[in-house]
Amino acid sequence: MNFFKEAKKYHIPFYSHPQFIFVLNGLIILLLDFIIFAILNNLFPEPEIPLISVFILTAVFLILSFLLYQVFSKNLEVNRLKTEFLSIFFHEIGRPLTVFDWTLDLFFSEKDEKEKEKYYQELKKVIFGMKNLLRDTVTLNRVEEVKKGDLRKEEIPLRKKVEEILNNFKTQLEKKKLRIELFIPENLTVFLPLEIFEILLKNLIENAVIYNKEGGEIFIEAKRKDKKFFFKIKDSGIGIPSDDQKFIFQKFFRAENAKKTEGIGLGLFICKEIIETLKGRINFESKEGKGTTFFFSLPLN
Amino acid sequence: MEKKILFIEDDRLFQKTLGQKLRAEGFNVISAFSGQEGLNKAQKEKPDLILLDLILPKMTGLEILKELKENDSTKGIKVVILTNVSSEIERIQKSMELGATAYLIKSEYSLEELVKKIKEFLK
Repeated sequence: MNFFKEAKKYHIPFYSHPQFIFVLNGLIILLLDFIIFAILNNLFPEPEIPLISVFILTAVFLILSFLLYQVFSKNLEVNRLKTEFLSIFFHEIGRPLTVFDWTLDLFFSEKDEKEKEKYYQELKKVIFGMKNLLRDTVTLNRVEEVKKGDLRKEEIPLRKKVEEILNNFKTQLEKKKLRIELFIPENLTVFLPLEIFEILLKNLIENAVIYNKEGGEIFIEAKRKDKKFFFKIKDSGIGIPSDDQKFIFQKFFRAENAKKTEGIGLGLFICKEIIETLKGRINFESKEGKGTTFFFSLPLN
Repeated sequence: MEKKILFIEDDRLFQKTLGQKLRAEGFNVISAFSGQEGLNKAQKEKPDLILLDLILPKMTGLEILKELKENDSTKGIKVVILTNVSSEIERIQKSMELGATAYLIKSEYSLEELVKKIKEFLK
């Protein structure tokens, strides 16, 4: 029970942390037990009655306080996520607005038509980036919402789902002439919360597409083994520089060689959040210039 | 002689817009896209002014500022902090304590106004 550290994380004094209150509550119940036992022992000659009464009382109190503890903990976490989410949003909305403002200034003071066209393209890109930001923050918000609610699971036919997502990237796939190979058994289904699982797959597939080279390849492999689901996606893209590898799951981090591609650095952060929610593990192997392989596993019970 | 400005900023678009404007105004602008690159260039190029973004990947702006001020060859260079939003108030205060000359919140200025401000620091 490290509520001192925990309390710091939530910016509250340690004595208002649910864990602390729960422990304190336990001690008070214990103390009450002794007192009640002593009183009842004097009133009833049979030793069973005081013992059983104390036992029942303790159980009821403990269950009650545990329920309260859970409600408080959940609220605390939800609150923290909300604050964090807002700070992300404030931070990320300012950047494109300023860039837009400044580029517009340059656009108007530029005389050369060709240069003007370049600024116009930049302006379009900024707007595109803002739309992405909006889309990703909405997704992140949704993931947090799903997280605090009940994760309703359903049976998902994996191969069909992956093909469906790939189909959404059809234009890019054709433009880059990417070769796709799927190693997913036709009958493989997984019992998982569809909404967030889909986002997870979509983000990983999107990365394999947009960071791939022309004429590149994407291999997707999935299997199920001992109540665990394994997924692997390998691309022949630009790879992640070794210096950047330890940062890639951080929000807003973008690898050095990824900055040419529009994006804001929330995709993998969202993946990590989803994997954590589903109590799984995610990892990757990558070589700059050669490609990246992401793999994750999820428990299926 | 034209003044040298080292601009440490990882954001390609900020580099492009502000960099371009400053060059058009006759400054010699050296771009650095990461903290380490910025520190190397500060020692090598001896700029008249450093524009430093606070939020950088890997090495933060504060860490860079600290190193600049601890190194004898760079501690005399004026450092102006650039930041995205005013909510960074804690970090801004910390950077002023560490010896930054001033701070500018990007979103509060047009390009024109920002360049005017930067010129004032170079006087």
